[in-house]
Amino acid sequence: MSARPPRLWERAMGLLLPAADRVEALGDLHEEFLERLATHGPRAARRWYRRQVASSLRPALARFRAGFAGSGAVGDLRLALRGLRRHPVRAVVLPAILALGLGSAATVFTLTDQVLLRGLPYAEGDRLHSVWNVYPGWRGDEVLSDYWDQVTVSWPEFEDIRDRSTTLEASAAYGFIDGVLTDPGDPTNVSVGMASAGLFPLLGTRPFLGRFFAPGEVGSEASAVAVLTHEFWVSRLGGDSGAVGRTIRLQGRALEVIGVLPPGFRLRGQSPFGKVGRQDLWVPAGLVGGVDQRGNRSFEVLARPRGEIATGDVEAELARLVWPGEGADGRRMRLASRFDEEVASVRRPMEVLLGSSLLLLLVVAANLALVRIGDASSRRGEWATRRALGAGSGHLLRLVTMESAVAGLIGTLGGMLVASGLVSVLVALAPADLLLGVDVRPDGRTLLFLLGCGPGIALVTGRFGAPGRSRRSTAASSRTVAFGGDRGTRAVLVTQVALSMVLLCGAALFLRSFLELSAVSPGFDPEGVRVVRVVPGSEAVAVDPAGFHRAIEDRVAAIPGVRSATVTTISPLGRGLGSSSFEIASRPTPEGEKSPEALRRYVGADFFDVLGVPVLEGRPFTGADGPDDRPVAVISQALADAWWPSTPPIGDAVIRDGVAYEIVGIVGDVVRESLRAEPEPTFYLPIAQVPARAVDLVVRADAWTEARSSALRAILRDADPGMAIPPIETMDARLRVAASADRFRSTVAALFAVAAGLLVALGLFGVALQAAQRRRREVGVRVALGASTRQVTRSLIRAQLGLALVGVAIGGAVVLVLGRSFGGLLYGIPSHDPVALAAAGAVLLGIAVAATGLPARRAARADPKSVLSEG
Amino acid sequence: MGMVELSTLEEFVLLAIPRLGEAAYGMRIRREIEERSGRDVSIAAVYAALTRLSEREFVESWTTDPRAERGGRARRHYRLLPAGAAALWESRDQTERMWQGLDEHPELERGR
Repeated sequence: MSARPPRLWERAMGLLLPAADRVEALGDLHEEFLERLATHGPRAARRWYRRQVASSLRPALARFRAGFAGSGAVGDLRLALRGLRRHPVRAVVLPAILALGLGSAATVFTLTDQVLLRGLPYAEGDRLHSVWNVYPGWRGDEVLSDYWDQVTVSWPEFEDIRDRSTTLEASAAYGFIDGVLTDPGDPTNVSVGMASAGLFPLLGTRPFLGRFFAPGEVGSEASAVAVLTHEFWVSRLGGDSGAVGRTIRLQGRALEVIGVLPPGFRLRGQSPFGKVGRQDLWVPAGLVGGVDQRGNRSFEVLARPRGEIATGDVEAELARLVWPGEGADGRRMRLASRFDEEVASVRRPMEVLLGSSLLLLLVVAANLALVRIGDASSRRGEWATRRALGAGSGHLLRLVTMESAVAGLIGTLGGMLVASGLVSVLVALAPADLLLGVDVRPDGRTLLFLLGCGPGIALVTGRFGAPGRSRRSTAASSRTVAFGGDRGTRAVLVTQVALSMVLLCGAALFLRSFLELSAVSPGFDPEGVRVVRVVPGSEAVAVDPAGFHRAIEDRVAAIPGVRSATVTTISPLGRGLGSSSFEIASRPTPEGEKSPEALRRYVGADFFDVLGVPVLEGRPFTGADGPDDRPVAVISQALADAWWPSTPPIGDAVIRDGVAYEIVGIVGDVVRESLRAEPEPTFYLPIAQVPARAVDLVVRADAWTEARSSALRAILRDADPGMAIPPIETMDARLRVAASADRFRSTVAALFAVAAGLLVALGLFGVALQAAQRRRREVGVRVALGASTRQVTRSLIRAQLGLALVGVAIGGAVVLVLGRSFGGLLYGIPSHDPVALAAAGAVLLGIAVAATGLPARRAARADPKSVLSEG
Repeated sequence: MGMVELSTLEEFVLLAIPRLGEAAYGMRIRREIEERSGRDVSIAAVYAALTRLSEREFVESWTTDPRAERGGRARRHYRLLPAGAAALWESRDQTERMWQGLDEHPELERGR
């Protein structure tokens, strides 16, 4: 127990005391606090201190009020409020512009803050590291090269690390599998985490109910127990407080529930083979096998190194433990900061978002400055009156400052409203993995951000609305406005256009990229195609999977309105890794060289027909390619190009597991997981010849009705009552998801660009309006002397178009320099894409012509007689 | 003697100072008022009263060296000035004049 007053309260007390007495009064309180600590105990002493702070609030307020009244600020505030009420520009336009700009910036700040800046939601999350195997030998491999330094760890390897490492404070292993829960309720697919006993303690997670796994319950003799996530406990067990001790059935096996995790617990797998972000329940590692073989690497390992030990030393020790004397092919271990891994994929998109919102905020600031400049010039009469009544420059400045402060406060509050709305919109639009599963909502830090930015921007830009120091300077500025504004105005205008140019270019680039991506052909016809994963639940089905699949295909194809149905191990844009090596019959791989690799799909006889994949040469599979017939294969265009560049592949054969499959056809390329990736070389084998258990059932129908979907479900349930039936997906939805990150980027960029474009229009319009007003007499004279409306309009807008051109050029140059940093987010176009840049420039210049032309034309059309007689 | 207006708190503060003598500083004054009158007063209110009393030259003050038990902060001691003493007497006279002849007033008797 510290023998000093609570720090926070002491600081608060300091704020409440007048500066003259602060030191002594705090000393008094400190002294009395210590006395009370000795006589009444710490709790009573602290309570007393808090009460002192609370009861000092009133005297402080009284003092503040007295000081405020004396300074004349109350009068200024009253004047400012009256001024705001009378002038819609100051009362509505200023706060509204500010609220929009601040709101969007605060939205992006909130996303970035909660996803990137707060760190991992685990105890000492910043010290957590992933432990990976590194296989340099995989580097040259076409398929595995992406994963060579992120290879998962086997259970025996993990045990070596856990039991023998001296450089790690703690370590834990986990993995993920899909399972079918058969009790309670109907069979359902669940995502199951497998954990070592140390996992939850390492993460600093405490049970919400019950307990977690004990060391003896994990490993090759794992106990039949389960820990449920809070969400699963609520949705499936109704949040039953007596859930601990209940039995659930996973894959038909009874498991005792021993605990429930706290709400919101999440652990994201980082392995490239399976980024799993959500689990339903956890079982002890080893319960479903996979812990006995050193070569079965199905776990990810998390560790916290001891504080003072360098990463390199930890890695060296782990390599010695896991690869004793086997360093020949360079296998070793690698430690990676868990936080860096988790945010690696979202850092760049978030930075782009953050950059755009800051640019927009600057455009807003520039715009506010322009509005204030315009406002100031229209208030010259008012200033003159006030000066005549005895107001000094200082007083006028104070009045303007007060107006800015009030507008800033309204804008800030509006910004909070805009942010709360926009956050939910962005969260709904954002692709799931951008937010890393964080439940983003505006909070106190959002408000702090707004309070930090809003009033500041309002006050700084408010200075532009201040009256000139003397009459002379106001007169001078009124002259220069005629030529597109004085130097300050021109600088602000150019800056605003340049910033907007950057935003518009960004939007144009992302939009072009999105359109390019949307135009990518997936290699099949997605319309009317639905997919459902079929994972047999009963062991009986495994005896004749081919027959099982064929029966389902036939029955589904017979549903009225359904055109055709087929099965495949991996449907386009679906999950699953099916790469494998093969041999080419005519050209065996020389000894010591690596065999070719390609994606393999096992497909039903009608696969190409159902999905509309074009057969380019030879023939597709038919019902005659049965288990007892000659083994055949169909290859993709990309595979043919890669391995048969000069000789015809048809007639040759691919050899897999010692069986030669004769190539009978070549088909078009079909996407696998990402639309952005190059088509992957693929070979297809008839599923009847190489049976597989879990498949995707792919169905094409003219139109989907609920009746057809339920008929489909009924057939599956009837075929295997133990099977969990997942939701039926549409191919269109899969395509949408595949492009969702790009769609999100272009939508957000477009929103920012539209806002910037509107603000630029507003800013230019305002400046042009003043210029036209200022030059009324000159225009009147010229029209009277015979100048045409056209000539006059042109001369009026020339100055500002020049400024807009300068802004566009500067903005374009900035994009050319900055472009490299977000080039990786674009698809199919370079970051200096001339089409996008030209389009953005053209739009901005168009805005400039329209915004300046309107006031100019009106001025040019004015009747010279009435203008000249104005005096 | 001109009109003297003292708030109750100001009066209590002025009265506490001579009683405490050498030990008349913020914390002691606050404690003295609390213990004698039973009123809970905040240190900020005490200092606000002391500031007003200093401005009217009813009290004077000086600062002593910082002390460890005060978090290394100095103490400010107060002494009653003649004008302050006069103000106290005046205030007491005012109160007593108001009370004259009311000691056995039946309406006041009910409040005893």
